[in-house]
Amino acid sequence: MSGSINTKKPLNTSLPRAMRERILDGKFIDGQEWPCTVVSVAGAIVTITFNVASEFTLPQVICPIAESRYVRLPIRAGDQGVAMAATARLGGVTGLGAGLAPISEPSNLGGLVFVPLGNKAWSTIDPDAVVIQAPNGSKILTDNGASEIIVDTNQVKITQGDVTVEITGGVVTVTADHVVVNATDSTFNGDVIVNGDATISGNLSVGVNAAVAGAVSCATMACVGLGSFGSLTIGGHPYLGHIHSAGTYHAGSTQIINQSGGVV
Amino acid sequence: MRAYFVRITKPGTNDVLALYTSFNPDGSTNGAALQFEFDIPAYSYGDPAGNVYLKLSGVNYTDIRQANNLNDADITVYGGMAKGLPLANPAQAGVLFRGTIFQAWGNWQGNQTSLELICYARAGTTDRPVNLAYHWTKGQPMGEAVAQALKIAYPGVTVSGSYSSDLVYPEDQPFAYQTLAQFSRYLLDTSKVIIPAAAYIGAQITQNPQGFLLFDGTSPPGAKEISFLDLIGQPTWIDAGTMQFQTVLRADLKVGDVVTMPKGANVINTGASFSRFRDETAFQGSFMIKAIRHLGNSRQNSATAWVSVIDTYSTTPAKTTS
Repeated sequence: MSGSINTKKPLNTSLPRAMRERILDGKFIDGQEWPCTVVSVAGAIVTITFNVASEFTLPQVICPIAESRYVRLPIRAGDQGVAMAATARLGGVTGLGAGLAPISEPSNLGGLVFVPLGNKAWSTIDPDAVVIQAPNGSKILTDNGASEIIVDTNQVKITQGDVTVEITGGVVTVTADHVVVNATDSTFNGDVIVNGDATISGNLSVGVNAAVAGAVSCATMACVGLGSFGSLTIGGHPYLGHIHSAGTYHAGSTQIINQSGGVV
Repeated sequence: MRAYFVRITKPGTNDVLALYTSFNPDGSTNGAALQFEFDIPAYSYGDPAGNVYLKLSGVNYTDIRQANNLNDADITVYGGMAKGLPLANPAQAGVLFRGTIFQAWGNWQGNQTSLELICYARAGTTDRPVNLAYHWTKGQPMGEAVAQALKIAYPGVTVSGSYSSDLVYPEDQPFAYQTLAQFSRYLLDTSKVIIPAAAYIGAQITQNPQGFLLFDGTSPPGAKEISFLDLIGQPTWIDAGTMQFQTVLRADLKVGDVVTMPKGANVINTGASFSRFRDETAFQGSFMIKAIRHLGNSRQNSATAWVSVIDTYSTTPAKTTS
């Protein structure tokens, strides 16, 4: 009919527009995967706000971080990423809800997961290495806490049971019942203080001084190799210039009666 | 007599851009009123049915000039029956639709002019979204969250009705939808997941001239009685669980209302023919209105040219499962 809707707004032009609108409706009913920024963190759960241009105020969303229980990321407020959407609610597996998820789409911001993203502005540390870097370093530990490695701003500490190796404040402290060093040779540039017993089954060579605060005593002292001392005091008497009581002595093949003479 | 008016106003104001009416200034019917044709669907947004189509024939030339751009203007359509004919009930007349003109175009060929309008309620489109964003929290009743979201998107709007108090979600459900169709689709699907009873109709939003109505059949309003004399033809099934009947144009019936079908006519037919069945309605009992389609042509002399076609849920919807 001339002049009617059939000529001015025919169905074959209106229908594609209507279909397009319905398709766009459907796409917006689906979960929306928008860029976002972390507002706050509570364990493995974050509150995010969306970085999309909208004339409306979008709600903040509480959602889990995309991470495993075994490798946890140090997500902080201000970190940026993208919200990825599941097609069923996630509360049953994240603890934010309960029960089995029905096979039904959650609200379009109701099944989201925060996924952190890389940023061009980041500096390159080592492109060929796995880099674990965080404000407080990192922790590697077993579920039962028996073994742990901590790298933080103050220390590097390795713990296994009651044994610890701790590097902090310029001091390396090894706390263990038994320490074994298997090495062809070891070098200590500086003083060595042994507060307990020291047993040396090989040679002992001291380039400078050796000081033992406690007593050195043994039933039998054997030195298979050479022993060399700058000065030696035995029983309060300097080895050089010590005297012997009267008796019979031998100097080489010569028998000496009474005084033996000084050390030469 | 068939009564109508179409009032077009500047967006957000009461400045009248155009007024077409069947009323004389004294309220009587103007027999020379312009021919008015319309197709006005009213529905729940979870199951949208399209836009409103209006056509006014014989409009003034100035009404369809370039300067008279009615696109995006606000519009109110009133319809029903005015006093006059014996069965006319002016109390059933009222506002059929209130919304916005989406597309307006005139026709001027020879000495014939007409104005055609496609209108929609302020339900949002993807191009012109509404702010249906809210954080429906764990344990919060759905009806409360929906009412809040609607009041944010439509400040000052009246939201009436309610949903079952069982409609709570086990975790937070923040959302940001652009249109009522998107929002309602989500609500409808989610409510049916929470209350999976087969007879449960789901959480619905409908818009009527008074504002928004929330309903899911669990708190049905009082039934309105349909007079046998209002019916045009007999009610029939049109779909699984859906009954349809047709009445003279009625603005007093809204989606979400409950109607009671008449038991019979106040006339008695006698004789051995089937005519004795004509004093009974084919359906009896109460039904909740699912959708309405108002159809009319003010100058067509058939009874079917000024009607409301009403789809109803065939049974009173079930209460919740808990």
